[in-house]
Amino acid sequence: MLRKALPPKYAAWLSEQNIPESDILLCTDNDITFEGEYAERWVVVTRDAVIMLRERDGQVQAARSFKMADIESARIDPRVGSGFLQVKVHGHWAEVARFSNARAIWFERIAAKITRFKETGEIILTEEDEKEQNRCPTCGLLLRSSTDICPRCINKNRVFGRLLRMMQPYWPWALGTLLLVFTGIGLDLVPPQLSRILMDDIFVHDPARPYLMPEWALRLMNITPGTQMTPSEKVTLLFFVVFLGMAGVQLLRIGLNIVIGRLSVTVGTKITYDLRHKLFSRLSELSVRYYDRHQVGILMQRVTGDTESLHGFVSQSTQGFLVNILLPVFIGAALFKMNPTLTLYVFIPAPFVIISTYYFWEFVYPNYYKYWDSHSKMNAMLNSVLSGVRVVKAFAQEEREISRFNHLSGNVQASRQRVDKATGTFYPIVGFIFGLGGLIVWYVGGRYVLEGKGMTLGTLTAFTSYLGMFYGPLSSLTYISSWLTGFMTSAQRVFEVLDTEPELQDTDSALHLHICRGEIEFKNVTFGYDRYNPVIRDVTAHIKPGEMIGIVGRSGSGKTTFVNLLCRFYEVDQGEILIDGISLRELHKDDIRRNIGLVLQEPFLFRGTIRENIAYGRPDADIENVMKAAKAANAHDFIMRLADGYDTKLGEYGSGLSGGERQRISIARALLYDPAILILDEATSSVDTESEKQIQEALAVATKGRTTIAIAHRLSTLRNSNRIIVMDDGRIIEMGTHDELIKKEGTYYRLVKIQTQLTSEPTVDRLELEKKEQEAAVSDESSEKETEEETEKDSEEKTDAESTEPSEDESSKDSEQTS
Amino acid sequence: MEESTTQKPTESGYKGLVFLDPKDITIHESELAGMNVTVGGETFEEVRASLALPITEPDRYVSLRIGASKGEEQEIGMIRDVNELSPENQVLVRRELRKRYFLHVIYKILSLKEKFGFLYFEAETSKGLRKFAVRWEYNRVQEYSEFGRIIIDTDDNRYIIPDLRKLSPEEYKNFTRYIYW
Ligand SMILES: Nc1ncnc2c1ncn2[C@@H]1O[C@H](COP(=O)(O)OP(=O)(O)OP(=O)(O)O)[C@@H](O)[C@H]1O
Ligand SMILES: [Mg+2]
Repeated sequence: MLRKALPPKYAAWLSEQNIPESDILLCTDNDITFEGEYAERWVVVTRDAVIMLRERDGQVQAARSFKMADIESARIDPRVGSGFLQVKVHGHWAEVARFSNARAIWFERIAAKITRFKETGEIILTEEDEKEQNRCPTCGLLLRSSTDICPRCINKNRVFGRLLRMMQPYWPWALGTLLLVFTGIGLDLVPPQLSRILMDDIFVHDPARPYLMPEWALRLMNITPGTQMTPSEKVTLLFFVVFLGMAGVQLLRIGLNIVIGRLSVTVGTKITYDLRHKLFSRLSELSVRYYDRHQVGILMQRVTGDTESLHGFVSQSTQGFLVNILLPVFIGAALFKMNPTLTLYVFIPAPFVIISTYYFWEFVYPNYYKYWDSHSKMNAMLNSVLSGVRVVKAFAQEEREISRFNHLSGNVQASRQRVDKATGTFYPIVGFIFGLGGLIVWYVGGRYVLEGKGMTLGTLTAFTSYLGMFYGPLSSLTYISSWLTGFMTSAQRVFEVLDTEPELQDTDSALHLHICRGEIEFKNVTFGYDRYNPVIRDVTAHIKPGEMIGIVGRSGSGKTTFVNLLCRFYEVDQGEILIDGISLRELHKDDIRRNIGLVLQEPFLFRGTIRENIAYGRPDADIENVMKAAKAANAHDFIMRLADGYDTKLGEYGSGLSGGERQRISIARALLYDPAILILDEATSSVDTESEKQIQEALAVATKGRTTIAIAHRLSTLRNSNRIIVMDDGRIIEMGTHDELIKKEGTYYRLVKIQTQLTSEPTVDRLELEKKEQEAAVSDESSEKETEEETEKDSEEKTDAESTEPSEDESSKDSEQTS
Repeated sequence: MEESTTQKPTESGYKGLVFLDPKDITIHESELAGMNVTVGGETFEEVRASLALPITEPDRYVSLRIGASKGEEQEIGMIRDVNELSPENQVLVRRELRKRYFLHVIYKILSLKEKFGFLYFEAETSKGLRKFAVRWEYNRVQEYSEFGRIIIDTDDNRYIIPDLRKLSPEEYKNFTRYIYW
């Protein structure tokens, strides 16, 4: 906020100085000292002065004070993590205050307003200046822009809940699986009961005890219940129990396992397919800014690796996890039913296991992270080295890369070892503790049997075999935390992408703009890739439909950023951009992009044929149009020289073509797109001057009726421009026709002068030309035409030179005559 | 190549990287901004200092520069090692460096909690006890040097953990529990 209320102390100081409150134009607090320590400071701008106030020993004093009359202008001097507000006094810059990044946007505005005040004598506060920074209305969090969605207030569910919600469409499958799992567990309970029957009914039956085998089953086997079995009857029973009971149960169980396995694979792959789809759609929606901040290699890992581990989650939960949780519960119940007291002994090892598992994970978790970290570092290195393999070879750094890789790979090995050795030690120990539990049961249960305390041998064997089924899943439950950790972090990484709201969202009321005239307007646009460091500052420009605009300026002056904003790859921080009089914010993103053809500074081609690459924006374009576009981009001829012509397959990033060839294909791609606005960002920088001239001629035809914005360092590229914009440090410093700017003798004039000076020195082109001219002089008519073309080119190149240094060379005048 | 053609032409031509003789430098405090530096009889005003290797070599390779905006910026020369300067000069250069870099070095993480996608830190730093919130996002905590991390809070202030390995086991565990990338 630029007009904050001063605390009483400071207000009192101002009135002591006879500065009425009405004189205060701007007033804001500040948080650090010049030395970078935290302290309260106030900056007050009045009609007469710029003052920085501080409190020292309980007294308010003006640490800095500059008379407005002495001030020429104001600026921000951004540093690392903080910045300075400076005013220019008598030709020197003086520091007024230092501020941390948190206040940067306010001081940026104060500087702009002081400067404007000096120019116009006015300070205008907009609504935004009066507001507390862009903060979320509900929670007060600092937001990038007023349209930013507050991440804290987006309802973030816990990972687990979300995962379950994601599985919702599959609930019939899940239910089916669950039923099968329960049935399976029920089946698992049967074999020990059968073995109990073997023991107690067949091998050592106590006549005083009734048979365990139910009466109806005995009747089925022609055995009379209530009587003692004959040995032959026992054999029959044995046969039934072993071959029908035990084998039958096993067969059923296997069948169930197969069905459950297949089901879970179906569901698992479906879910991961869905997830990958969601991830990729979200990734393609995300703004360019997102990609500035995230490594592509890591995003790839999320789409491929992390979704896969969610598949693991599904199959684990149906097969391992769920069973392992349910089985101990059911078995526990069965044990308890057989013998409650003995069951208590079963639980003796449990506390030990739980405690040691806890400590184990406290130890393993950090190591687990180290493993993951070293792994991703290795992947990142691999990614970058393999994509830059040409550079590696060119500088003969294979050996070093190998040893660097070995080092990283060694880290993976070491950290993996630590985790696995710990695990490998821990689980056998847990196994042993459980084993001890088993021994206790054997001993105590054995005494029950020996002492006849209501326990038969059959019950004891059944008991102990249940015990295995009880401890087994329990000890693998301790494993669960292991994969749960891995899975949770995977899920987190996936959800992080899914949760990222595309920064630039179309509003519901977004307008459609089908046919666009190509009128462009920038209104006081300010933008920075970082909020505190503007790259485009207060840019205002109006471009008429069909105009061809050239942009020149130092490297890093913001030319590419200018067109990035026009394409709405980024959202402006202040001001607005209009196409055909409609603000970009109110237009559908797709409509903006449909009307803009872009040739990037670094041409990017996809793996695929040349035809596919040219037709990228219009996949349905027929080959004739593709060829027409290629011809206009001066690409047709070199393509025709290729063995496979337009069917030539390009490698990654268009490898297999030269830099200039790639540029020409990307120009063809933009031309075929047939946009109302064509943007050429250094589109012909790698093309030789002759091809460039041909492209220019073709473009002159192709760009008729289109608004064209061409960025170039080589000024000859811009000779067809209606107007030229000169940018410097994010500002438009000059704008006008070539002649106007030359007359002005400003930056553009200087640039032209330097370039013509450079080109008027003997260059290879020029030597070649001279040689040809000599050849032409001695040879016959047939070569005359060629010479004419060359000299024409020469004269074109010189037009700049003429206008700047008319007296300079006669040769250009000569050539003008010949052409 | 092309870039150099658009640069402002300097009369003196190309000089290469200049290392300043520590004995030949005199630095005076400036009342306005930066320092006043005299080198080889020539005096420069509004001179600022920056480090070539702020992370790995905070005491060496100091560049003395004039001009703040991209176009005007020029280097007077480099100082190989701040410690070679006279004590008075050292003080001034170090002060100018402090003006360039505003960051908090975290000495100890007192607490770290996550809530609604934000990490709430409480830490002892080089600038005293600080509480700050950080969006729990990949790009908000990034690598800094080989084993360090740099944290950017919701106000865009910078906090640095120079070496993760030097954290206590609890701090490390707590930190990596949230910063799992
Ligand atoms: N993605 C980004 N994130 C942060 N800063 C950026 C990003 N892209 C560009 N910049 C910075 O913004 C400034 C303007 O960059 P821009 O690409 O607009 O320059 P340019 O005028 O196109 O330069 P060139 O002629 O070299 O292409 C530069 O200082 C650059 O370092
Ligand atoms: Mg650019």
